Amino acid sequence: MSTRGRTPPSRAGSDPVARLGKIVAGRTLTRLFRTAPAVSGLVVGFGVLVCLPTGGFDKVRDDEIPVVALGDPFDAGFMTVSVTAVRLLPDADVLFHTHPGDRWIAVVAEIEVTDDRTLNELSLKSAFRLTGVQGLRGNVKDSLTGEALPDAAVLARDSQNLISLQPGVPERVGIVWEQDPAAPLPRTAQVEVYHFTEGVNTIGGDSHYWRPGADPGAKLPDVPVQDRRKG
Amino acid sequence: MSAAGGRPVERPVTDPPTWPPLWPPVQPPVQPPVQSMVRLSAPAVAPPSAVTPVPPLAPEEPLEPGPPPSRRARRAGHQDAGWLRRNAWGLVALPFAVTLAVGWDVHVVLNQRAAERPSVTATVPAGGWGTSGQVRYRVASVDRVTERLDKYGLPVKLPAGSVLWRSHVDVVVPAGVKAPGCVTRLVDREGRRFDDGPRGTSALKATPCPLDVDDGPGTGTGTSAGAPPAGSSAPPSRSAAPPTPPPPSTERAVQVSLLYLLPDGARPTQLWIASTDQVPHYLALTVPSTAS
Amino acid sequence: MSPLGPGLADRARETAVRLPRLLTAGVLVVLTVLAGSWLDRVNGPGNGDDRPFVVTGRTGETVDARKLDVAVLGMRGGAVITSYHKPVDTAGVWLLVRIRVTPRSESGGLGWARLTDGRGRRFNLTGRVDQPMTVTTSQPGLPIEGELVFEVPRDVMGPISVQLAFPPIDQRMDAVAEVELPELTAATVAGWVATTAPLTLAGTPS
Repeated sequence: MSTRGRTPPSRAGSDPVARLGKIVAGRTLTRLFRTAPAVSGLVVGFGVLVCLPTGGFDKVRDDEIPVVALGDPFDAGFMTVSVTAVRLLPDADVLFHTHPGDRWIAVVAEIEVTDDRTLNELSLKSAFRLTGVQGLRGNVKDSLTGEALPDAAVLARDSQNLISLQPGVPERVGIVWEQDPAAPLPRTAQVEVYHFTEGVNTIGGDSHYWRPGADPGAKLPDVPVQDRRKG
Repeated sequence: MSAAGGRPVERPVTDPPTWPPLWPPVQPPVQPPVQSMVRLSAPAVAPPSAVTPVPPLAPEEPLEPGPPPSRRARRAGHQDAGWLRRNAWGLVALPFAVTLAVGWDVHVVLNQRAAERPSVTATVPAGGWGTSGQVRYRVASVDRVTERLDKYGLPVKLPAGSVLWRSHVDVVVPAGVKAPGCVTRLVDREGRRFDDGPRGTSALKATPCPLDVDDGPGTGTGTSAGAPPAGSSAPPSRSAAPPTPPPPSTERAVQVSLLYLLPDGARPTQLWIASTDQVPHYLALTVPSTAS
Repeated sequence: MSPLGPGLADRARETAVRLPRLLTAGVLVVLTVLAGSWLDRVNGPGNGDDRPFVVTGRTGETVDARKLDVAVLGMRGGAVITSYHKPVDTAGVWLLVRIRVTPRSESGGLGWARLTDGRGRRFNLTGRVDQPMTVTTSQPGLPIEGELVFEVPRDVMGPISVQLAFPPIDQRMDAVAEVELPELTAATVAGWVATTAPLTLAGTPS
């Protein structure tokens, strides 16, 4: 009589642990062999079915970040932005140095909130990056790219610190970074603006904004930096 | 020949060779083939017509305890049991699961709310002493304020419809204890709680609870009017105290005077007081009924 | 079944029986996940379990907002407002809502307010001017009256309503009073835009 398919106890040796091991391994392997095709098929199918509607198969962002010209408005998700200049600013009461003697570099932009709610300062600042400038303090850094987030936002209308922007009320705004005075004076800079969309935050039941990836939604390369430190 | 498990066995039509049973009771892994064999050929419990009739295992056959039922057999048996039986454990777990799913956020927010709610640890009858932390308190009086001028000599200005009340509280700080300061609320008949020293009363005279600060000129001042039960010495004055005094080695008795703004018609019934380190657990001191 | 034990054919037959069931189970799981994520998207932010309790009312009515009784008394607007003794202008228009707040059982004041216009745009209190009503507290039963300032676009349209609540940051599971404001017409807004005399906030002196 053949005993294929099972382990005759008398053959497994006198060691009960080994016997047990053989039974368990044998049983598991048997099961696996039997169900592997079905299970694998299901796992793969499940993965595909979930990825399809949730964007897993979407084309990965290509390297081409759209270039925008100075003064041209573009859609950045929760706002329409039109960058008009990059300037070195003089000291001002509303701008607080973390290191004495630091320079202030500002991206000047016309902004209109297109979302249906008040935009706070933090969300606004998180949309802007300045690259090609050395010595930015980066008191707060982008957790994804390590780049320096802006240090301040100022409303041009009253030269006060910007607290929020209301939907439908366009304003000229200065997004300001602090720069180490030991770093060279920038001649040109690249401005990048991220495209933010709405996400869900369970805290407070409110939405928050998030960006799809590490790539900006638009860039303005080689913007000449105006020196307005003397007013 | 029947299997030891007492289940009908399909026999090949040809002459069966005699081989020993394939399924001795101690070998559970071997059972599934039996079941599948039965299943494939007999989806129902009734034996299929294709099978050579085998003498069914009549009850008169010795019923040996067969090999333990495989998982599939158990599942098969289970299907026949009622829906309730099958889902009994699920039903038991359901209220817990629902509570967890819904209640977690709710629990977090309720905890926040609870933290802001004051609680009363003890109610003290009028004229009695209560202890909060290590400091003892007693309400001496709660009266309407009749002063017309503030400490600058200017007329007292109050919001329309409001009445100013003043409490006098005897405070005893035991020897060697740092005075923690206190927080008080005046409570009216309707249970509304009024803070001491509200907006609009800063220009009026008031004496806060004694507070020993670590740095600086020393203990808070207090008037020593009133008759404390234990002997006391005059509290050290501000200017004479050393920069970082240790808690005085003698008991300090002080009477503090605090102000409250109540709407016209409100009647205070209790004074809630807590040493600063005991908040939000308050003593509820009953206001003497002589309060005007 | 072969005396040699389960053969390939038997195993295949078994899988053939089990596979449809497994597949069905798998498909149902996937459908449930998809349905759940669709519901999540449709329902919008948060799961709503802890959303605030909204109590509605009209201008002139007193609304119970748990820790406060609030009443909206009226509204006005203009192009310039005085804040800290200086005129402050706007690219939109200033909308001032006059309210009365009475703490109920504990001292307190208004913590949060938001305006909603006819287009569903939601405006938080402006941070550009002094807002004394948000920092003034009172004792139970003693009301405080004053104005809240909103900065809104010139194309703001009715019906507009204001939401008021006690907690300044987290209104979850707390009461929010929602009061419909008087009718707002384009003509009214145009009149406000034309009002260049600086508005001064009215209210309880603190």
